Amino acid sequence: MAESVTYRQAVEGGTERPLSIWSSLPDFRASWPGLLAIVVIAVLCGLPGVDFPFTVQNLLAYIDAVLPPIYGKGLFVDLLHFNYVVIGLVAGIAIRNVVGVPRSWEPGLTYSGVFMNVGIIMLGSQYMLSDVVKLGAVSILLMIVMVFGGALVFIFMGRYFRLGDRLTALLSAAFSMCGVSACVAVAPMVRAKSEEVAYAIAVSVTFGLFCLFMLPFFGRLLHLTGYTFGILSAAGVPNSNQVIATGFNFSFEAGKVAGFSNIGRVVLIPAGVLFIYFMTLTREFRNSRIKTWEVLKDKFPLFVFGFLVVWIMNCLHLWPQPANEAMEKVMNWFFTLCFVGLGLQTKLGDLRKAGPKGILIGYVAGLIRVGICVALILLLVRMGVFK
Amino acid sequence: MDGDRSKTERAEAEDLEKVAAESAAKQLRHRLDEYIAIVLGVGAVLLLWLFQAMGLY
Repeated sequence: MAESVTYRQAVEGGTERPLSIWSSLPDFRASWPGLLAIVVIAVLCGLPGVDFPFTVQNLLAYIDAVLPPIYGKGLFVDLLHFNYVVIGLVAGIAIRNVVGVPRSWEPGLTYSGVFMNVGIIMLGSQYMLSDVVKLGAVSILLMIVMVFGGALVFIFMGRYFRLGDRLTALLSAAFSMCGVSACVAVAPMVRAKSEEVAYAIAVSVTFGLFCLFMLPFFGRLLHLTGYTFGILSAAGVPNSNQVIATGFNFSFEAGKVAGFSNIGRVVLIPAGVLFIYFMTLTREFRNSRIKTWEVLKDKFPLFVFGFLVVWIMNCLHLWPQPANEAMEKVMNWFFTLCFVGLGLQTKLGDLRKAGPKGILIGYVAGLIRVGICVALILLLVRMGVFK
Repeated sequence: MDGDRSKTERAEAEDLEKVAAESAAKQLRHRLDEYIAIVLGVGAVLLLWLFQAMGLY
């Protein structure tokens, strides 16, 4: 049997030997400070069902009550729509970029992706067969258009600005699919350099951050419903956790729809990765060979099966109403934990890393993609497909 | 001259290897995160269902 190597050995050394799957996980002793920090910050921000009075959420409600209203509305709750999910995210960003995060927290913070996937799996308990039929066909169709159409927009922009095939492939993967994950998946296939990977990730994360705070304002200006905004955030925002955070920043319904529609998008990652590879395949990496079936198998998001199990159980009416309500509450806990972790990992200094040209290209192409998506959604609303 | 070129080529090859190793390691972690999420998500749902069946709420 081939001897397996650790995560660190693989990253530092580069090896032919197979990686041990468990070695990629930081051990619990290294992880607990970060995990504990996420839980404590989430509780202090305010979790539904947790009876703790000294929360930021209560403080903001108090400030709204004390301050004179603006156009008859409270600043934080009514105008800025600060719910516990958004508060957790903003608190995380503030802590990381103002106070700083101790090094001992870093391994635990990497679990925010797990919390997001748990939230999405539990989302299955909130949908019935009719919801999925109604939401599924439209959102999957829109996701197909946005993943492949979005990739084409980036390939065109990359060629226009002469970015080179590798960077074009990385940026189109990061923006049209699942941000960092898609970028990392495409990198070895297009033989990207480490600085190109870091650059593409920085551009996509900063654009996602911009969408996270600006898209909800834009959605309210256009009077979009929670349902249509959820689909817009899944189609327009690059990173999965930013997709769901953008949705929740608009409303709870939008957050749930964004989480569901995002499943349609992540399922398309394997096909999208291959599409980008073949579309940008030129002289630069014509000699590199890939195994199509292995790419499809390795990149397929398995947590979707967890969602399906929970959803099928819900469709079979296996649990009555009180359990269903408790599941929604626990689902929101996991999303809040994910957003606190996301905030604590968001470095505003990455904006500088992306550089002016990267920001220009990323934002122009990203905004074109969002614009196309808004136009499609408004067209579907006018046609009566969306209400 | 040739020495400089081979040094650059070696550095580039090492960088490509590093990117490939990093990508493989990150995808492995991603996969493991998915397994953990499935266990936690489905487990949480079943636990809440059990609590309901036991009449805890």
